[in-house]
Amino acid sequence: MKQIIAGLNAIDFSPEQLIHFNNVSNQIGGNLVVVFLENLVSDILMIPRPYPDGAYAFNEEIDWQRLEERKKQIAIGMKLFHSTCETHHLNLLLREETGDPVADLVKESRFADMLLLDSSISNRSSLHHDTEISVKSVLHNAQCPVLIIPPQLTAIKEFVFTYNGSYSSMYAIRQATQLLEKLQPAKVTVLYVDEKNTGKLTEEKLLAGYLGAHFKNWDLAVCNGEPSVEILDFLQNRPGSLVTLGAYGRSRLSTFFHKSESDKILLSQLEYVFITHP
Amino acid sequence: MQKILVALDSTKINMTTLEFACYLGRIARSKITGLLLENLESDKKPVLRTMYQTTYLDWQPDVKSPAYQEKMKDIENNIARFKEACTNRGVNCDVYRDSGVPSAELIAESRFADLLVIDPDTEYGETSKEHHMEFVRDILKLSECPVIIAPETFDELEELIFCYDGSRSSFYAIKQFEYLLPEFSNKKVTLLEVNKPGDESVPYQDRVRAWFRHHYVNLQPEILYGDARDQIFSHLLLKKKAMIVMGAYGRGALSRLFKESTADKLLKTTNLPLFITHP
Repeated sequence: MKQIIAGLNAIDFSPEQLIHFNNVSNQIGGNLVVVFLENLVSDILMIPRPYPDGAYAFNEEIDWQRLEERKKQIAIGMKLFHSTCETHHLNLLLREETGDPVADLVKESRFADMLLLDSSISNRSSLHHDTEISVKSVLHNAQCPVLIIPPQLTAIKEFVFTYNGSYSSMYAIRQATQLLEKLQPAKVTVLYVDEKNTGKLTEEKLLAGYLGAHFKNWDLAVCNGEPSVEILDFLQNRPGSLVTLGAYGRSRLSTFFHKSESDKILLSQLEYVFITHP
Repeated sequence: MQKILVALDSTKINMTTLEFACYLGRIARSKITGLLLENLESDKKPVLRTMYQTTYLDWQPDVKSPAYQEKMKDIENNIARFKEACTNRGVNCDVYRDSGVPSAELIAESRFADLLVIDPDTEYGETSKEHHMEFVRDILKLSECPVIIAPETFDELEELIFCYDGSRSSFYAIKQFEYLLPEFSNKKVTLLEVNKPGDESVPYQDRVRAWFRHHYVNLQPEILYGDARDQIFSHLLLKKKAMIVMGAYGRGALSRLFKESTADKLLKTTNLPLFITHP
């Protein structure tokens, strides 16, 4: 059974989100461990201390008032977590991490088979802006594949494998195929991003050999132009798609997440996004 | 796992390597794709050619020579042997012939495979002592999918030995092995936790063991202290019917095993299949 971890913002816990994660984990055939992220690093303030000669030094001090406020929020979240588990008969393991949320998730990801994140985790209405958890940083540093979940639970009906001939895009396809074996989607589509306008699929025979071994049928869609635009366009009106992306932050395919459209994709919660890199 | 690539020298098929690949194929219910490597570079000879009334020197295989004809005949026979062996062992198979530079062909193919099985004695070109295993080392460093070095003789596996030294790469290899061969979850599992000198315990020991308990039912952790190379070597020397799983070939402390002659010693003396991959 796969070890799946889900990062939840302890400050702004949502029972719906927990149920959603649990459903996805069940679909994948995993055992869900919830990581409650309590960002206490952001409660450290830099307090200026004046010297007699007029100079200033900055000392790190804990903002006790904010910390207390946050602890109350976390306690409410924790209570809600346990009541949700009880009501819905969820047998989940809970881990509390009280440091830097990104570092905590990255550490946990090494010992997990997959990390589930809600694309809205960094954008939920929270007590303070600095409690946000950077999805981008997690994606860049994660040591296991990350599955970003849309807020509306839809059954995964189609795998959309983005492919540009690179090792990283093929690596993501292989990891998704191996880890999501239980999903058995009705449709598999390779979305080939022909960045050089060659009109030819890179290593077509080898790709067909690999996919043919794993899936009974698969389709090919070719697009030219800016990868980010083309991929987004392709995903429109395809509910229940799971799209794979390789090499987050390390190749051209993934760079579209760094541009202005990136937030639109992550936060528009379009579809399931499976991201990993070798 | 559905695509196991087994790389074999097209002129002399190692039947033990093929037997081992078929064993994995049967367990994983996966097709075996035989990649029969032909080193055409070594057959090339200088030939004078003329184009646009200009004569120039080119390198081409002498396809009419008796030696070349004999070699092609051997390859055809070996392809037939490969198919027959797979069929007799109840495994579906494909065969590809790859001519050119064997290591380059293999690296290209590995991008589109779940697992690559290679024969430790495979070598092309230089056969001197210094170059022994150079081909295998290149593949381990550059392969784009996990690699298993097949044993010289083979019995059914009864134990898995995972080497963990606290590094990301060693745990990465452990996870990749489980994704590819979850069918081994009931086997005896030895987790060799290698402590670095000066460290009291292996990093994230609780997390590592928790992961193992989710995937394997029969876990036996063992902690090794001192020099990792000596400790691992002496531990593995007496093992039989086991497979070793390691990460970070050429990139980390564990891989230093392979940078020296210990590699040859380990592979030759222990006769255990070795699974290696790196992030």
